[in-house]
Amino acid sequence: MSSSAQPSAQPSTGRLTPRLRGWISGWMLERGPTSVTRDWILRLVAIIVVLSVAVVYIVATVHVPDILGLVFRGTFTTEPGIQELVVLATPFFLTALAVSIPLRVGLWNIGGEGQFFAGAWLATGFSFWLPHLPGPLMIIGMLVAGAVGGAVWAVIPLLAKIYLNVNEIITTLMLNLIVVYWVAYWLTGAWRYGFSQGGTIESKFIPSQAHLPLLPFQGGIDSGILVAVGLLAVVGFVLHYSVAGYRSRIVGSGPDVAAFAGVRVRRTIAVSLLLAAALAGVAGVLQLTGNSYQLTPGLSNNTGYLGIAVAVLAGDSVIGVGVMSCLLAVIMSAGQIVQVYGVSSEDVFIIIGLLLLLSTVATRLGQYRLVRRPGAARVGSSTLAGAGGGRSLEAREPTTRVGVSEVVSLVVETGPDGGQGA
Amino acid sequence: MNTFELYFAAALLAGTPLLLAATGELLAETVGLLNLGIEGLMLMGAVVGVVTTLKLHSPEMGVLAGALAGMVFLLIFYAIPVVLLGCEQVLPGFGVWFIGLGLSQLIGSHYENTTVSSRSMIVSIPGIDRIPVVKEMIGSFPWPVYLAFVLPFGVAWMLARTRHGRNMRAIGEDPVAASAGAGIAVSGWRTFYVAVNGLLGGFAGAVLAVVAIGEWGVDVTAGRGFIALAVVIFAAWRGMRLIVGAYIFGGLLILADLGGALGWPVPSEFLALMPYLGAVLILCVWALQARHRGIGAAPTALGMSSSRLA
Repeated sequence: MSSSAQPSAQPSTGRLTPRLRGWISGWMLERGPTSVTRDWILRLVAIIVVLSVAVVYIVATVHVPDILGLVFRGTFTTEPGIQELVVLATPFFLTALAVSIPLRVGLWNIGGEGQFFAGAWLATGFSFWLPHLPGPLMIIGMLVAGAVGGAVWAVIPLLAKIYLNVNEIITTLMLNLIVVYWVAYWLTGAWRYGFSQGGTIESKFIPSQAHLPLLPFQGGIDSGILVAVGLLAVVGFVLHYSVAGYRSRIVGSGPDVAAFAGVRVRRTIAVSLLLAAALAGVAGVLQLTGNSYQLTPGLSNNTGYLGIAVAVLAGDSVIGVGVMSCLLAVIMSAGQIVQVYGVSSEDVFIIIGLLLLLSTVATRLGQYRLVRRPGAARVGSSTLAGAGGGRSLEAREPTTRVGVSEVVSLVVETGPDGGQGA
Repeated sequence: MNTFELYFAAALLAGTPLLLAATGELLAETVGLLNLGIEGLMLMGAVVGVVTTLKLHSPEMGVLAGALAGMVFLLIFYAIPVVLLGCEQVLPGFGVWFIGLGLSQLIGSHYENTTVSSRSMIVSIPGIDRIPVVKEMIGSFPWPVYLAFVLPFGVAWMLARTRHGRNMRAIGEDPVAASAGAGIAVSGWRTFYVAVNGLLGGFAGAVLAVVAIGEWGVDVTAGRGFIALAVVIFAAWRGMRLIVGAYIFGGLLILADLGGALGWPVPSEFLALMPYLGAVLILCVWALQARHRGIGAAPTALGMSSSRLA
């Protein structure tokens, strides 16, 4: 800074503090256009901050030497670790899209968890209904059943939203809780696994030809990841290059404008939510046919809820969904490893919550830039007057500019004119 | 004590946490703040309430500590991003929910399934305890039940009749006009009502775990925080209807226990999902009603981001 050379001209140290304050008040936050790059950088900073907190917590509570190296090697360099990463990432691609797609038209789909189970439930039922179908037909049938099941689970919130304007956050969440009991009814009844008399409930195994094949890398990678990545690519293409994707963007920027422009708003919202719910249902099927082979209450491993975080961290970018799914899979995988050393697996919710909070703050900060006030380039008593004059001038302007000193005084509660009267 | 009396009393007890949480949420929503994290808030109140009760052998201190914990929790994780920094409100709400979910399990991991007694909190209303049937239904409860019942009356009176309440509604309708035109310190008021929301939400969670259930368990709230949100909508953002809504859901919440006790030929899972299904249906029916009768409008600025820095 050019101003840093100036202070030597001022002999008195007693005036340093007011001068410093004057210098601070010479900066201001200016509300400007947001940019994708800035948003990404700020979100990445938020992620790094949260993960640093998590690392510090783990190092402080787990008394194992080289715990970080242990986690790193376990996650990235062993065959089971990589297999696990793929298994964990697969549903995130789809449950995150289940949040991300409706978010483009202004809807919060919190029902990914319920739609995941509805899809898995219907697919399980399909495999029990036609147990002798040949493998490919069986898998395709189950995927279709999963998509239908997921979509059906979103119909009530959808109708309530577009015809009655009922808050979709509450209705989709309630349906998550309903499906828990619906699945439990089947797992304790008709589909009960014969040998599980104890506390756990689980279904019979699906027919063996319904198992997804393993890919021949790293000792067998779950091929569900191909389906997930393929669907991600298709959705990305549709959203970015099709008329339907363009319509959804118009609706997202404002339903009134969209209606004026001739877009059928309700229909666009309906298609978005049903597509999203279908994808969540497919995620359930992939978990069922690729990994678990039976319907259990823990099938989702909370991926429906964690998909919210993935979608938020990804902004509205489909590639971002892919990247953040992988990141969250790494977090989950690391979480499973440290679980052995006494860190609860549910702690991941704290990380997720902090990520949501800080990424929101980051987005908010991204709307502002730190700029030098006009006429506040020099440091000294004249600058203080200039800064003060600038401030009063700002006050008359519309609410686009806020002085840093106001923010600082807000935080440290020195009052609106603290330090200005020197 | 016959079955109906038992059911009535149990429904009141089960509805009490909902009523407390919904009252706090109503106050926050009146000043335009949509806190979707009630679930996490109640969980924090619940775990702190149970742990404090176990440590100090005092359920009174337990529910008090739960309320204070809820207040601090919400001030840190909701007031700072939403009121101070002016972020949008949905994601901080989810953040509060998730952090509460994780943090409560972290704190409570060594206290699961340890029962606590709230017997010392039971008070009998003099006079009522001599009327035969009414005595069994409403005569003798832990005091939070009565407090929860009285609170909405006070809130309804305050919102409708006092200058304070009118100022609150002014903030919820248009914070900029309330600040510039009426000279209300919007951020201060909002911070205060976030604190109140936290206090009541934490208290609700503590009452749920310490008084109504009697132990801490993972995810002990089981969606009650979101039902409380539905109760506020059902109440059309007015105080008195909170009571009706909360006790209806209280009745639905204990349906599974009742069906089990009476040997109803309905699978318990179907009874257990009734409160959630009921919430969806009540919201839909209520929206239909509200559309026809033109009532039940939310505060205009509800959920809009604060204008502190904008």
